[in-house]
Amino acid sequence: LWARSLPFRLPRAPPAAARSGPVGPYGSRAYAPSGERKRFYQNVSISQGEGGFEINLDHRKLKTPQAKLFTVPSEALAIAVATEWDSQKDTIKFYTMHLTTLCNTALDNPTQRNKMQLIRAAVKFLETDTVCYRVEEPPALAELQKNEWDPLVAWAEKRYNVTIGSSTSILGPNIPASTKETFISHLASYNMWALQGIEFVITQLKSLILSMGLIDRHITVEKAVLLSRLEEEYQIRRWGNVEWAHDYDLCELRARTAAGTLFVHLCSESSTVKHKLLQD
Amino acid sequence: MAALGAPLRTLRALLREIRHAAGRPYRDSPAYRHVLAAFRAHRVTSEKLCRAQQELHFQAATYLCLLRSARQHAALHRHYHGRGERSPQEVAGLVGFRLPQQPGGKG
Repeated sequence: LWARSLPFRLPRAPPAAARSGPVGPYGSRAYAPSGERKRFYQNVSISQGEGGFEINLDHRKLKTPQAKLFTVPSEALAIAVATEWDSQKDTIKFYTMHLTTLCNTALDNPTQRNKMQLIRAAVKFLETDTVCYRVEEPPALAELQKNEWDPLVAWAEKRYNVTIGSSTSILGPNIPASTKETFISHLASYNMWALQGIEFVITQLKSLILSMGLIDRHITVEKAVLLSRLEEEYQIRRWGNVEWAHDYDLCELRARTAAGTLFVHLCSESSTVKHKLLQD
Repeated sequence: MAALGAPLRTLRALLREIRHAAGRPYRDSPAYRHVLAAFRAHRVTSEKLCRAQQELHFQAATYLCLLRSARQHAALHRHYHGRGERSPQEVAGLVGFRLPQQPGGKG
């Protein structure tokens, strides 16, 4: 009755407390408003459903941008996603929530690529792989590339029993078909979720070899990012560091690469605790 | 294998980052408990080169890198890029002008 006495109609806003069904992170809208939104939940928790682990924002279940129920196969991954949501303060900054974004991509598959298309996209990067693409001058940079990147190429060649090489030509290295086939069949052993993560890391680092180095735990994220940005680091050492650009990009690349690597490992692991018999 | 350093150091730094991320009740947060439980479970092993231990340590180091660089990135963003646009008054003031004030408004 009191509502009728108001001189104007209030705009319709989704009444948060009254809504009983699952709600997406954008309320009742299907699109995302300008990258940020006020934090509308108090507690973040995890629960186990039929398809896997789910995230609860207060009493509502998180959904993907395409309104599917947000389920992940790994508990550790669910905990990490929940931590991402819980660490948002007054506003939800979607662009910082890399694990959530990766899960959404795996669940929705917005580019609608199948497994083989993902693998081919990943292996295609080898033709223009950063660590194979060398300069001739300045000689200091060429030397730095040789010292830092050669060991990694050698590691990949030995680990996968392939020939890769490096090149200073503008066309890039000539990758033999057998090398590509080896990587294709290796990547085929990963599941669809892990492949989304692998393709993401390759796109960020601009290098298949560095990404495999990460996936195989041969190098750390910090090292992989450093090697990916080798020329930038060289120029920074020469001309100086600009915090609001260089450090900004560095932190963002590290965050994305770390998220992608963690995502791949959490999606492709099977943790079993083997109890060894104590020998008296 | 990747050069990771001592697991204890990684664990301490990771717990500190989780503290920053989780807020006040950090000790009960799922991430804190999960990380501690995982490290405790893998502690008891007679092998020096326990593969599961190394896998866990690498995952922990990766998660630490994620939390730390995300926090640093957000701080840099707030510091340098978070101020938004200047108002027309401020823009005019940059070159020493003042916006005209008309009593009845514009137009």
